[in-house]
Amino acid sequence: MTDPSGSDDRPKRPILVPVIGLVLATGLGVTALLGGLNEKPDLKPPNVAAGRTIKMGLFEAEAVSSQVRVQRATTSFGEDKRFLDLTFKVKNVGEQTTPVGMPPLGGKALSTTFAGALLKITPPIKSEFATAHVAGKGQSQSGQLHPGVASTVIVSYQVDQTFQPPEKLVVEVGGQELAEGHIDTRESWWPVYEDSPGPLVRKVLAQVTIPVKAGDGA
Amino acid sequence: MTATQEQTAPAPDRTGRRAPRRKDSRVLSAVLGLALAAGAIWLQSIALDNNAMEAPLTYVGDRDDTVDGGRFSVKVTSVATAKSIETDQETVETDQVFLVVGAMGTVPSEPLKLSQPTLLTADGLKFQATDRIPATSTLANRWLQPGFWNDGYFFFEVPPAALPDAKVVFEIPNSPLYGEPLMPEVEIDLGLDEATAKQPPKDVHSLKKSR
Repeated sequence: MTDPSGSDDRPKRPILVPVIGLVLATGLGVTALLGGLNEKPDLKPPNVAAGRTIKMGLFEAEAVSSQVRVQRATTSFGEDKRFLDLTFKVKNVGEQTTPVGMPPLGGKALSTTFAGALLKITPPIKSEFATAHVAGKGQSQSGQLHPGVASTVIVSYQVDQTFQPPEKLVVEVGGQELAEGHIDTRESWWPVYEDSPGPLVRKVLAQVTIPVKAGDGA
Repeated sequence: MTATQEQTAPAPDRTGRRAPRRKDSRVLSAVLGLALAAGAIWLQSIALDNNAMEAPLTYVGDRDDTVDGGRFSVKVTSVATAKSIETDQETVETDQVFLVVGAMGTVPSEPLKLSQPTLLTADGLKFQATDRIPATSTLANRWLQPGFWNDGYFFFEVPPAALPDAKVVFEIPNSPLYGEPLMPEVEIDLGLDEATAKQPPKDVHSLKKSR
């Protein structure tokens, strides 16, 4: 019955080759469908409590606290303004003075500044205007983070009169890295982006939980 | 038509005359070509790269020297430290120290305003002049004109440890339309050593008297 003659063997070989090919192709297809071999999902960005230092690249930052502040009107026809203030301790570990920057407010977060790396806040804060400044002794404000100096940065989101502050905020923090540019080949600081193709998305380095203190405007 | 006829007429004559020298001239032109190519490659190698093109031309000097930077000259006349600065509007304090650099400047021909200078520390950190003191209170607010010297102050907010061997780098604004290469800058050593840097800062540096 199973006579291993040369004439019987011949048709088997051409079948074996396409079968192996088919198995390989199916495996490849399944792998490709599942997103390839090298696409292990990134670890979730670590949760960091307030008071812990986050290494962002160009900055080392530490969330301190958050509270609602009311800026009283200075004229009779002016209106009181309410701000949600986030306080950070920030050290510029680069070699030169950088501007403290502006929070992106849902826009494109493409800047290497400190405030530009505060990517997202949960629960979302409804705010149309946000600033950041470096607090100094007395009332003086500055927009500069000097190299090697740890300073207090206050990021203020203007909120409306009905705003109810949550108990705590979770802020997604992005980072910066030293890299060479394509045209200007000097090394300079760039925002850290996700590897994914398509539009640039900032990579979240850490999620910081900041308790909201009961301020005068709460 | 006439032009081409004129050219074709003497051509065979020339080639005919030079025919015996052709081999030599071929070698010669090969050598010449190689030399030209080598020269071009060599020229490429000495061309300034991107970094060098963007870097300024630095003129170096010491405190109390008049340092000529080509398009402007600067002289640092005084260096002091203070805990607070009294401007016309307010008194600005600091947890660190204010470095007050008194300087004067002039230009040979074209009037200009200096940019806010940079403090270059011994370990290579670059501190921009502080924005806690409004730029209108500094020498950057005053036009430098040909023929006479204008003076004023610049202010830095720095940690006291940054003071020894610090230098001030004065620059002029670049064109907003195109980046001009090889801008001049003047780097002046403030002459602060460990001992002078440790002297306690003044309580108040007032700007009211000087204006």
